[in-house]
Amino acid sequence: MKAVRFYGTEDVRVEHVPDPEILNPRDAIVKVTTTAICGSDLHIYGGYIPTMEKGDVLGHEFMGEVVEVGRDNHRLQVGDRVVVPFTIACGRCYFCKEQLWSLCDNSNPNAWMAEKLYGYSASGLFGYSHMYGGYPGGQAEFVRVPFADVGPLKVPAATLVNAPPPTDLSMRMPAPARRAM
Amino acid sequence: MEETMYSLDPQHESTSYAEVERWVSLASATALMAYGFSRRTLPGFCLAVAATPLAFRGVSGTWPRFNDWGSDDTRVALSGSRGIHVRESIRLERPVAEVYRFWRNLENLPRFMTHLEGVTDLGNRRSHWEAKGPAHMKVEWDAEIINEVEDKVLGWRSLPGSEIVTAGAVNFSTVRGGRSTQVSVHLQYEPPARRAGALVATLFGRNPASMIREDLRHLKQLLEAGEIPRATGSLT
Repeated sequence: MKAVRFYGTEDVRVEHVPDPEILNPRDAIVKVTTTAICGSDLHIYGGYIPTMEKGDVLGHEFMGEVVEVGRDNHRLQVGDRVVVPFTIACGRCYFCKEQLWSLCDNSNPNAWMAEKLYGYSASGLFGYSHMYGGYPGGQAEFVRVPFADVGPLKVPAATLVNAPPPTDLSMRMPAPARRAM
Repeated sequence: MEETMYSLDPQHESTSYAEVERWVSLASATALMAYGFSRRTLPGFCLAVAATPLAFRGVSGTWPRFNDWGSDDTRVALSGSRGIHVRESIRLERPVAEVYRFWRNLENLPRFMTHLEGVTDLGNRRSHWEAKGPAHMKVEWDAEIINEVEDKVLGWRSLPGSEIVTAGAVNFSTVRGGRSTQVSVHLQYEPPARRAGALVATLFGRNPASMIREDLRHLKQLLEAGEIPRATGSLT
């Protein structure tokens, strides 16, 4: 598949990488239909985020279609359309039970790195350095989503997702503002 | 704030003299050995060899004792302050009975302790352990459970004839009104080649405390989330 990969300060390339695979029972694989470049991707692009490595796949704002689910994922089915949050959450630790998903105790396999730097770790993140898990991100054709029975929000079938965004910005403004232009 | 805490720590104060003594021993031994070998004569060589116990003292903090050197009785090798001590704990959102039961089935331990290759329950409170040592050397030992109070504590020690001398205890306690469990590990071991061995092991891998801390994190992940998170195919 094609993916956006980090190589260094202001050096990002689109390259072919192996397709992701289910690694854990609660995983899902999502075929990305829409992805975004976030302002915080610019921190990475500018070289300000430690523990980025050459070849890391970027992207933490994406949505798509579920194409594969792990054996313990009973919430998603192949064909579901989902919006995937930036933060990866296990859903069962103290913080997840309090709905403080971004503080999940269990989703960052490299929590010790963040603890060394900041004293505490946060949850694992998509495409946002090894300190937050080293998870490949969503600026790619496919993404492996860990704990996919917790984070992803299902998009109702009736919602039109892939309509082209209005090119004229004034179309998105409320009517009074449009009249003022 | 932090400085006050350190100066109040009795262990910290008592080690400083020993530290100085060790560095002096090591420095003198190095000087004697360098001088001895540089002479390139038999007396010089003998002088260098004679300095080795001093070098040992510098590295290990004790004179070499050949009477209990390599004793595999935990009561001899680990009594008092001897051996390497590791204390780590973690809190899990699971009932204490479940956590205790999982740990008491010792064959579960390699599922979250990455340095363990296998544990075989031999019955009658005895078990056989296989682990990856420093530089991927395989270490094997037999252990027996010497203290067992259901849902509270599990204590063990290695048996004579083992390649490693180790003893330890895990304490299980309920916190947050029984909704969470605190697991506290106190592990003690005498590595092959004693403290020098531990020093070498630290150089070649991660230190024992951080290893146990990561293992406890894996236990929490396994029991709370049902799986150990990973970003790639291999667990590191």
